[in-house]
Amino acid sequence: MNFFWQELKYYRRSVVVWSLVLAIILLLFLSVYQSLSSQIDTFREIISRYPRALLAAINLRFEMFYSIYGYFGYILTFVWVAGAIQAMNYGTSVVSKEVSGKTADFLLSKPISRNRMLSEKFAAVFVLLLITNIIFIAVALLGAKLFSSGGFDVKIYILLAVTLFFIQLFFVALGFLFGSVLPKIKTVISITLPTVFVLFIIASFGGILDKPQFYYLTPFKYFDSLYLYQHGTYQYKYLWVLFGFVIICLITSYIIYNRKDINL
Amino acid sequence: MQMFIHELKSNYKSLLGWSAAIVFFQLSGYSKFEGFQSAQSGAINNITNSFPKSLQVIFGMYNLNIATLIGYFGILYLYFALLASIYSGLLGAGIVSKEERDKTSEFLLTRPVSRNSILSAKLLAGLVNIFILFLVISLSSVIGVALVNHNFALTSQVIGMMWGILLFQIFFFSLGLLFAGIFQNPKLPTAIVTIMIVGTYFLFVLADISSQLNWVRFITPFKWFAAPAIIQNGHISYTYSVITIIVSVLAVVVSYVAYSRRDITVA
Repeated sequence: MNFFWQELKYYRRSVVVWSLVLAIILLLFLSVYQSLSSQIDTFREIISRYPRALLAAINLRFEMFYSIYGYFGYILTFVWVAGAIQAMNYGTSVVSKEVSGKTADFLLSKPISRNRMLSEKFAAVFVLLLITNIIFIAVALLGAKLFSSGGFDVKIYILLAVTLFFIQLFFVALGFLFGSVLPKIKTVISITLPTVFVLFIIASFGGILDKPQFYYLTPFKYFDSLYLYQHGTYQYKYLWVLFGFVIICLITSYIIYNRKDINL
Repeated sequence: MQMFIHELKSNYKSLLGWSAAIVFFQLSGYSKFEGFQSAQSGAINNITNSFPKSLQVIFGMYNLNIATLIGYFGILYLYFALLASIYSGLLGAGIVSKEERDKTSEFLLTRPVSRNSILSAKLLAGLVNIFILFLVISLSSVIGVALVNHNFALTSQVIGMMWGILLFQIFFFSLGLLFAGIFQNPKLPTAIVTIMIVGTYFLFVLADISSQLNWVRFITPFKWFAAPAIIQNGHISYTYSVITIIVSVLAVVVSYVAYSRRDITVA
């Protein structure tokens, strides 16, 4: 368990900073919800006069924006991006920092298998993400209590908040794969930032990829707050794809890392 | 000269990667515009104009006429600004602090060159890099808009917006350099500059959503060089351009002073 504790210790400050960042993003945006909701009523009137087909053309979902879920869903996209960067940073650096920090020879000469080492490292970042998400969900509930005028459905709200964890799971696995496969990574962030942003851009400006059959390509499309709001549950097909992806990433990481010539 | 070339070599891969991301973004960015245009653009603009301000902000179309190509490009412009800022900020912070991070500072600083000339080589190489990315963004934007528009009528307007991108780059590059000059811990500069970019971006979004936060526009560059004002005035704000340049120069000067005096971490 030494590796596990060592990694937890290594990232402890980072977890605090990231949790703070996520909480601040959320609270900042939630704090203006009231001025937003006061504008909504007049807006609802105006919009009811427009033909439905036109509204569909610009892909608007008004039902959503009346409620705090809609607004929360909107904020979540920002939180996802930040959280994805955090998760991918952890996944990538937890493996690659031994090479970039020149501690690989020290570590790998210990009488512990590479599999064991990878498992403990992954378990550590998994726990770190769990901590981040517990804090995030607590802050989100608190924020909704403080800033939403009416009541809100705690279950849907929590389901929305938990999407952060799934998104992070995707990116921690992807980062883990990068960290294990690439021979030497000098700066983690120069790999994670572009990856996250490209996937985010695919999701928001899909272009030719903006068709349901391509939604599988980017996790930012896996969770739709409108669907969640209407059905009270996730779209399971995407969830299975996500879990499948995570497992494949992990297995590939183990296989490749075990055979890899570690760069000393 | 040797250091300058070395820096160019060690940074060209990431430059290629970011350029590819920009081009990719150009390729995928305009498809929604064709949707807007085909669905009776006049009517759409009427609807979007009747949105409350906050909703327009949420859709990234505040003060932009998204039924016109240049207005739509204003949405993309914001993302280019964000990408360019992140690239430049990371570059400025990393190009100096990487010696300490990669434990090459001892090797470098024992050469018979002054710290000032080390910093100058890095500064120059960094400027070359951000200028190349600027060219990639500008060229691809001009070409992208021209392809969608089927002519080059909007070129001068697009180029007018591009100066904003260049100022974003210079601003965050100098800030990155500043933090790398000051802080001994090689991880700190990158972290601080990333937080500054993302933070000022969020402040920009918030300032548009809520009118109470109007004062925020004085402190976030995303507001200084926001697309709607550039499109309206036909050029970027000269006042803020001057402010940006002054702040950047100051940051670089402080970076030189601090870097030549501080302790350098050696392995």
